[in-house]
Amino acid sequence: MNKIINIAKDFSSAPAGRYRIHGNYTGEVFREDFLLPALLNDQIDTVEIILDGLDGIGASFWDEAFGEMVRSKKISLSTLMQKLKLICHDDPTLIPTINSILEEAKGETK
Amino acid sequence: MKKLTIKHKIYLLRRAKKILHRREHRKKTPYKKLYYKKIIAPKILNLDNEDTLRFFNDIRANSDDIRCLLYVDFKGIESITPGSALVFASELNRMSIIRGRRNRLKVIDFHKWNTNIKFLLRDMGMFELLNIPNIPKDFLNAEYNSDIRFFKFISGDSINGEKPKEYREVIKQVISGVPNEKKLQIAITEAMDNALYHGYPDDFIENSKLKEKMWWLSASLNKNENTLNFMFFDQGIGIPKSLPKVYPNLFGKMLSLFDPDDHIIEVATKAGKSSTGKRHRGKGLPQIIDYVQSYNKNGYVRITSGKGTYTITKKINTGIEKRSYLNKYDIQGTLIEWQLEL
Repeated sequence: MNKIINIAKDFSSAPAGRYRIHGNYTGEVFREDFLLPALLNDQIDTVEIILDGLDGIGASFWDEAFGEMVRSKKISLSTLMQKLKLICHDDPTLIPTINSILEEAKGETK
Repeated sequence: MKKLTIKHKIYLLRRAKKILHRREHRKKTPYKKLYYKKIIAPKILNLDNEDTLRFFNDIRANSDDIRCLLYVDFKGIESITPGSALVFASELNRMSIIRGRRNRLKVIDFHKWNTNIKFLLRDMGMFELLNIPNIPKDFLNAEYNSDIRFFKFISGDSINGEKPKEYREVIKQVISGVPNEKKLQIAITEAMDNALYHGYPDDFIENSKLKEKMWWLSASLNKNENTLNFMFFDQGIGIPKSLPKVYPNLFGKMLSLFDPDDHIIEVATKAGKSSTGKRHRGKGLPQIIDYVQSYNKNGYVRITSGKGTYTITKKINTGIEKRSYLNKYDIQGTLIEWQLEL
């Protein structure tokens, strides 16, 4: 089964910041309420994250949403890489940004 | 009259004793007298001018004390820069929050104010948002054309990406487009994140009269110079004092002990990889600067925090120039100003 999460439509078109205590649309909220439940669900094979239609988003949001998922080790790296699929048509820099955040986080957990 | 029983007499005696004892041991709290203080605004409100920073320090010191009947004299103000206007608005906003509705600010000698200043402050939303009650209604609706246009400032106490997004739409009603909108959104939301995460630590909030972790955002347009400015301010601990908390290693401690504030700001804009070992940290300030550095025309970003100021100027002909200096007074927060040539 596939799960599609369109950040702009399902979450916010202008998410920002790291922690839940600082706002309703921060990286921690997206990770804990959207990403992890989908990725940890055994019945879901692929989680497609659609990155289109987003405003400018700072490194703190991406890092808290994706990087912290790796650092916190709540999900194994192999499962993450196997299940996560990033899709973006309108900003060619977004997928490389998230990939480099995941790589950095991998480096920090070693 | 009914004769008192012995039991009732004992009761009355005991009660009288208790009352006397209470009166004798009642804590005598000293009577706190209200006092009056007049602060005169300088002619030129500009953060490069030490009188301006001293003026803001005076307002903060007296506005935090609710016994102080504060009178701020605006009559002498002849010019006001966009950055100092936002700091000024935030100080008045802080005063009205701390003092509550009972101590609402009032405007006096309005007719003696400089006309240009009156309209700039009106456009900035100073009277409206601070809920100042006695402004003449015809003035609020009057038309005024000036080379400099201030946009209404907005404020908040959380990270909300929708707010700068909506703010851009307001500006786009006046100018055809805001340059590099996505990078601006990143710069402002990272400034919000820095303010809330690093700017207001728990011990700071505990000792502060203002309990909310607030930020203020404004913009201005200079038609003569064809420039657009954005300003973001928080009244937090400031970058020089927050750096040892962000980097609690030897690097952070040494830096805060021995380096002047302007140098600490400069280092913070480059920090991250080298200083903490945690590579995912310290990317906020570089992204704040990137808005101007990646712009394809002239511009600058200036960060004033604590007593330091650090400016990066981008000139298409000569490249990037960096300048830092120390101010005599603390700005009591962090102000980030972006200027872009349109």
